Amino acid sequence: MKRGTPVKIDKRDKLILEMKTITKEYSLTLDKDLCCGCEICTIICPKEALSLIDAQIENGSLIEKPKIDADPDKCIYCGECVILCPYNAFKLKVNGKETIPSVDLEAFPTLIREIEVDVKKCIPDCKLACQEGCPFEAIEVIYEKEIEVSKKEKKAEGSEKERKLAKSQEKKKKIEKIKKIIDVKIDKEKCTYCSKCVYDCPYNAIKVTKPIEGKISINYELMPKRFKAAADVCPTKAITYDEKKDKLKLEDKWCLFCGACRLVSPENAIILERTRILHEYIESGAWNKALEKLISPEELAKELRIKAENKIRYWILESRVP
Amino acid sequence: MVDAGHHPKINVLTYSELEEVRGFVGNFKVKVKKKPRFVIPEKCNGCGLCVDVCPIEVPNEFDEGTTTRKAIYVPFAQAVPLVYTIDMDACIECFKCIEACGKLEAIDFSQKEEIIELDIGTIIVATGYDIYDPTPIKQYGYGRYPNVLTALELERLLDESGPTMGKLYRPSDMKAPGKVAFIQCVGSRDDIHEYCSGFCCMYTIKNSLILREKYPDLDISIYYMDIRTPSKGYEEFYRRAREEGIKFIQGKPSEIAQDPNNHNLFIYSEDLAKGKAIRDEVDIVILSTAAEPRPDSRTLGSKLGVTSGPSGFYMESHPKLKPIDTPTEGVFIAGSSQGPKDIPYSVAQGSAASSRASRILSSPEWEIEPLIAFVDADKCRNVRKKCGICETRCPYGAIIAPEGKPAYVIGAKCHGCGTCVADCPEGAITQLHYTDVQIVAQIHAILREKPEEKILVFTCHWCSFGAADTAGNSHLKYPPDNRIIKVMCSGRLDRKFIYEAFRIGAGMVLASGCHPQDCHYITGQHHAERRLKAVPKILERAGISPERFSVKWMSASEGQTFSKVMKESSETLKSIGIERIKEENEKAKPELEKRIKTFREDPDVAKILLADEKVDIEA
Amino acid sequence: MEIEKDLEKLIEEIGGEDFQKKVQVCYQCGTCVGGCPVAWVNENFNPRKIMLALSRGEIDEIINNDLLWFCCYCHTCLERCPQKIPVSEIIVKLKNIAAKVRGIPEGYVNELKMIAKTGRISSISSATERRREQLNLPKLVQTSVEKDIKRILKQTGTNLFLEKEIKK
Repeated sequence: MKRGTPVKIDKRDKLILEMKTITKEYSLTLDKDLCCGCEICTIICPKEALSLIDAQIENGSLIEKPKIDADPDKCIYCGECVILCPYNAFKLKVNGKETIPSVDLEAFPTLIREIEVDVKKCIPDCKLACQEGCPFEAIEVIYEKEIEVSKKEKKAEGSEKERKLAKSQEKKKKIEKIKKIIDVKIDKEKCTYCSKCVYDCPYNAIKVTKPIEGKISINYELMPKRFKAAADVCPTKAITYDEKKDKLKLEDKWCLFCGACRLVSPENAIILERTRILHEYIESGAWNKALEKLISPEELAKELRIKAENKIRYWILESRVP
Repeated sequence: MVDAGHHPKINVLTYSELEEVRGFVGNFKVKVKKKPRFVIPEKCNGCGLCVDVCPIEVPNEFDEGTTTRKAIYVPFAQAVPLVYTIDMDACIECFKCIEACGKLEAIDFSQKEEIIELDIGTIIVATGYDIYDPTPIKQYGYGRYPNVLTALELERLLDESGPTMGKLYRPSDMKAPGKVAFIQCVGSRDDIHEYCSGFCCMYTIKNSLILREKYPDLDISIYYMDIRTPSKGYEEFYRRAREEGIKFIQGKPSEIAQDPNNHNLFIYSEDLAKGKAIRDEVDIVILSTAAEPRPDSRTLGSKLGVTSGPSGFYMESHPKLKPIDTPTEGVFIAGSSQGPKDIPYSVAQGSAASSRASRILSSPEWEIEPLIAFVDADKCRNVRKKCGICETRCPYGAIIAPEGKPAYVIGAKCHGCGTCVADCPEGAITQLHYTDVQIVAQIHAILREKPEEKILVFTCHWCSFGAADTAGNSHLKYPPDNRIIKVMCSGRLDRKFIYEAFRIGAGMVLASGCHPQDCHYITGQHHAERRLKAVPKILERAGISPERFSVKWMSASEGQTFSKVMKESSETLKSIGIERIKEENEKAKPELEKRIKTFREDPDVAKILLADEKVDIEA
Repeated sequence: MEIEKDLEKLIEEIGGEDFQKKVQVCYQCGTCVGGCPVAWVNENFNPRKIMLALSRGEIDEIINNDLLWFCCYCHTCLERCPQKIPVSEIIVKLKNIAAKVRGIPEGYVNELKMIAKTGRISSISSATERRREQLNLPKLVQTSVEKDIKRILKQTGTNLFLEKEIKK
């Protein structure tokens, strides 16, 4: 094994690809807990270094989610998977620092993903719906507490043990009450911009820009009975399973169009189509290719046309002839 | 190299692969695959703007993976031609390089692989060597311990324009080392590679002196088995290293261990001078790894008709007399593709090869030895049914047997070993100067009088005849009862010659040739050995004691062996006794007569047989 | 002189011709010594020197030296020898010769007796047990001497040797 030969380290919770030379070190880490086994990285990988291991499904429920495997000899640490992973499962480090060279050198765009919380609109009686509802535990609401202590107090009697027990019960009777919401903190490392919080919030205080837009529907005729794997695999809980009615329920408002559910379901049972990806303006062949593979050649053509129009407009405005 | 690149009569094809070689000396037709560079050499001015914008980095092969290079690159700063190349295995096709190249428009992603055909007079193979990857030697920990380097990695680190600008660091923490140790013979002179790689001692001494110059306080020790400094000025260089205070410790280290906390290394070895085990703590260990043949040397060799020896390096035609030539005329070898060697030797060999080549190129015609074989098209059975035995026997690819047509010999490729002649089932091939008629005539001439008292010895031109010659030159004594018939190669030895000799009453027959793998005709000896294996059994069946026929392999220097064999054979002959030999020969005659039937069918050979029989009857 | 004749016979019996030939390729690199755990404890034990003496035909010198008995068969030398000389296996054979010519040093005989008796080279003291307990190691298992050890001794022919030694 010559120096610089890339290696794969497969740990229980992490898959690491490493390329170490004396002056430079690259490492790509896949967090297996965050990864739901959607197909996006395997689709866009320009060197086909990432591949998918099928999920295990037994009696309609998910035993093991689909997994991503990586080929260390093919990976070139371009970081496209890091940018496009909807669940932030990939991390690329160069010499120990988290960067993506292809973004720094403008060879690949970053996605436009925004989340904004208007704290002024927050009203304390929401019961912290956004924090409670977030599937990724990315929201932390900071608030002022008001503690109400219920006044019924039993007098401690009997032995010391009993008295202690009574005291601990006393504590439970204290009820926290939210007096004022100071701030809503969002952990951008964890947030996937699925916009579930937008719909959870009763006061329209949150605005989210989803990076990937699309359409999704379930063909119930093709879905087998008591099939809940699609719901099990969905990290945003856009698909849920109703035990009583034996039916999958789809809520496309907070679907990220990753396609994990389509992978575990029977063919054509889930119809998914990605229509748009919001990204920074960039001119890059690598991006064009990724776009073509991820959405469609038509969408790529559309984007190229817009870019060309923009260019012409720019030339006219600047009265420059190429 | 730059000079060669600028020379109007030198055409350098880089990033190309040899596809196919046809033809023969002076008339080679060569197909070369030119791989796409994706950069137009005429337009590229080597400015390197494309490199700055390329986002992809992969390990740098030239720097032995000590640093990275971009996906668009030149292999090294002095490369000829200085044109960038895009590594498609690493490119993500972002086309940022096209943008950076701008108006030069030197980058062309539409380039495709191209095959060009060339008319070539001679070929020189100088494909160099590879360095052994010491990872399989687990006890030295290369690949596991970051501070274990190979010598070539050190070479890159010491380069002023290398990855660390000529500074030596410990790869684990990028700190300057205080103590460095070299280990010699890693992968050579052992069970991995039997040979000595030859130049490692010298480069280790050179590197240790460079280190001494750069870091006067550095503690340097060299673990060695033997320091080999045979060439001019080398021993003086070794002495200088000792004067500079470099420690030479005799003993091959058994193991390197690592302190997991600070990545310091411990060398476990024996100090032979002291005669006891020692342990040494050092910062960096440098392994002087073996030179080995390039992994694709055999496939390239098979395209060129160049054979590889047991070690995998290309075989020369003769280790002393033809060190540059190969079995294929017009193809020469130079440099480390033939065996590990240092720079002066490689340069000398390169010059020698080019002068050998120009010898051919400068003459309008090229004379070959007149010993070549030719096929009698009327007799060749390949016309009637698929045969092609001769084609498989020829080590030079000089015979071609097209389906349904008689085989033919390309005279310029034939070296005249005669293996095809002996193995042709129809007797359709004849070797000039060693025809069946000539050899049978010799057998008959030798055995005309008192055949049962004579030992008929077949020798090959290069080895066993040489052995007989050496025996004579060194005045070694052996009984005078042997008679030698020389052929070019033992591969020419037809079994019929042996049967014919016994038929007309030979006392003993001895076939000889070179040792296996020493054959001047590559595989002639191998075919002879295979063919002669069956002879004793057939003789025994016919009634001839098997000890009357033997096969001996010897080299030209083995005069002693030759005289010993002759003495032994003479004794065997005496112990059997003339009476018994006569008796056996009489008994075997009808069976042997059957075996030489084709001789009777050949009018020229039959003439000799009949003439001899006539003399016998008259007598 | 008599001893020497015996030696030749013994070497032949053990297949010594073969190993003597193998040792002839030894180029005295010292790899065997560098990795030898015994050489680290005892400076005088040196497998390279044993191989050197053997290749020069000085077998009696080796077997008359008690140092031969220090080898503990870790086979590191055999694994790492660049000429693939089976150093440790040769030492086994040399020990066999030495045992027949000179007998086994007393210490090793005692060890053997101990094995025949308890299945271990040394007896387990209560201190060792305590140490093991401190280090959270499981308790030592008592091997059945009657069943396993005796069978091994019988099959290797060691029991006959032991009987002789005990009689002495």
